[in-house]
Amino acid sequence: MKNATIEQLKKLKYIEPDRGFVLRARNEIFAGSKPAFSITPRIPAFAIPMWAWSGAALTALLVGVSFIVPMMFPRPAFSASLNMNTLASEYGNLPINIQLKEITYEQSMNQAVASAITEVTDTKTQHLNKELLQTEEQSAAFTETSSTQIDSLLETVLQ
Amino acid sequence: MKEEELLIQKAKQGDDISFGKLYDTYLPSIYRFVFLKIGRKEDAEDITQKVFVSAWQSLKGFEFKGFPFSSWLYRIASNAVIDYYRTWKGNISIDLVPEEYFSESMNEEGRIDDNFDIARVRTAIAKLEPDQQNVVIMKFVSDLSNKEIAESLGKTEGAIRVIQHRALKQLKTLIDTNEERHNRTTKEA
Repeated sequence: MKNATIEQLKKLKYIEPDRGFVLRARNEIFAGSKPAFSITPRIPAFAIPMWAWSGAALTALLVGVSFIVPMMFPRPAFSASLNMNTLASEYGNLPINIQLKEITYEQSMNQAVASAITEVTDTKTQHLNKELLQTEEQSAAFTETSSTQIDSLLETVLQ
Repeated sequence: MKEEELLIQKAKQGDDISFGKLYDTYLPSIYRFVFLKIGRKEDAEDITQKVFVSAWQSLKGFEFKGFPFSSWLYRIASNAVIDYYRTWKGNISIDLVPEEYFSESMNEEGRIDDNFDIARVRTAIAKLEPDQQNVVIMKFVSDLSNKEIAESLGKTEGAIRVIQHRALKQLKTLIDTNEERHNRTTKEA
């Protein structure tokens, strides 16, 4: 009896998807955004310590080489700015240069202070002259002017 | 299995031709599973497509553990069906399976005769518990082993055997009851 049920169930295998759907779905799946795949090869878990150790060894080797090689094969300074003689002469001239710069600064300051004092004490300086200020005030005063023509036009508009 | 494993490895690296081969192999059985669970052509097509889109998108996370690729696809499909029923509020369709759904290998007579049998069985399957439906379809329609079904549904093989036994027993009762009712109606008419 159970076998008869199973036989009936097996008939459901004949159900097939629509061919149009199969093609359409296929195109839509692959036309959609492609998933992000890693292009780097995967490292198996057991190999991770090996990779870490080899990386550390490589770094140590590079550091060692960068210290040992210059000591074994010393080379002359390849840059003019690193030449010891030039550096020594530059250092020797340093105080003189500083003193000269200080003198120049003091001279320019003296000039600036002197001109400021002259300006303050001079009563004829334009921006402090009282007469000039009064003249400007008078010219700036508003004069009430009335235009009869404008008034009549406004009244016409309001009406 | 080795060929499938190779296809999966290539597909995981973004080879769409390899994934296309997996699609061609498994689409009919996944569609059949979804269609029998849902009973509506358009919805079954939508869900089947979603299953393969999801598989393509999350293939990177798939780990080959000796089970066929289908076990993973069935798991995605059964979750997709659960999601579908969570939001769907209609009635389960118990219509006859339209003729165009049958494979072309069947002859005309076979189609007509079997159409009634299939409709009866589908009606009965729709009345089973969701787990029973999954096991019955996977075991007798998709021909998966108990081990593969257990992997797909996240249950033990023992649990699958129990579900299968109960499902067949209940299915037989449902089919017999339907047949008796059908015969009674025919006599009365």
